[in-house]
Amino acid sequence: MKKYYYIGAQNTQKGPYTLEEMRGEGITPQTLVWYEGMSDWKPAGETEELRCLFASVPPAGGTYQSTPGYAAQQPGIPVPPAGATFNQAGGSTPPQTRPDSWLVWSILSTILCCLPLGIVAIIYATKVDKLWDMHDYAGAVKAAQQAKTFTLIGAGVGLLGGIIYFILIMVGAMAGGF
Amino acid sequence: MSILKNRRFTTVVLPVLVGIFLIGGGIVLYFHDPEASAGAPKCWFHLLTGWKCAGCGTQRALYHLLHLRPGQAVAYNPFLLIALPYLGLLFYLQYLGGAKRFPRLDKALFGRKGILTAFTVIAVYWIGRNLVGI
Repeated sequence: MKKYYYIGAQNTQKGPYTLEEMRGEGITPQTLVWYEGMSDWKPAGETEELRCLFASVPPAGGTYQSTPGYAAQQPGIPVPPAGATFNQAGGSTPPQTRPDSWLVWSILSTILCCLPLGIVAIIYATKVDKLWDMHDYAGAVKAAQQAKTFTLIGAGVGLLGGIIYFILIMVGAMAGGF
Repeated sequence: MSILKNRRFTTVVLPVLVGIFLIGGGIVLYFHDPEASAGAPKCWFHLLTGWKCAGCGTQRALYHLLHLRPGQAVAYNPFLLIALPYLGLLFYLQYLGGAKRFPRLDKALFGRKGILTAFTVIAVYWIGRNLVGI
């Protein structure tokens, strides 16, 4: 019997389950799953074999193909790919920990220099945890990236403004001195 | 914005730059009373609108804090009493391994509700200090 694994709440690995047992696990098309023959974790909705769990998607008649990664594996008990690595690009591999939402910096940026950009960054920060809980890892990484971008642009604008102000004051002081 | 996507930049270069900026800024601030120096950065929000922002007074407060006068520091921006420990806690949870030791606290502070609460507190203080005149 073929065994299936998935990433459940708190980013923990669940399984092995049979296809029938997987039906009762409340898998969504976004849930990351792995089964023998896959090179890495993938959302269930994008896999050949588990797509059929979701009624609206017709089962695929595609042929099963073993990946090069699997071919290299030892025969015997299959082991899911361990140590899913953090992928900045937000690919199919789930990050181990929730991406940094830059909350500390977006709050500092909001209070200290750049109001509008800091607020945008905070709004993106609120999305990170929510998307993470919904197992939308790529979405969480993307929101975190946006939060970071807006925080840094905000801080940059604030710093630039400070420098320009300083130069103007110095020029003013020198002009006044003559 | 490709430089922002570079992991090396954000995990190594940026923290070092921020560190230099903070230490350098601290030294400069220690020897220059913001109230007496014309070149001290001003709050653009205050310059444009005449109202105080939530961060107004932070520079003067930090100046007095560096000179170990917490009472005067609080007088310039009482909000720092909450904001500094809060930001310190966030920093600990996110970057010093606090999230693993206190996962529920991390969840509460970085969750949607936690962030929106902090945001509301900032907004209320921002508006309130201009009405009351803190």
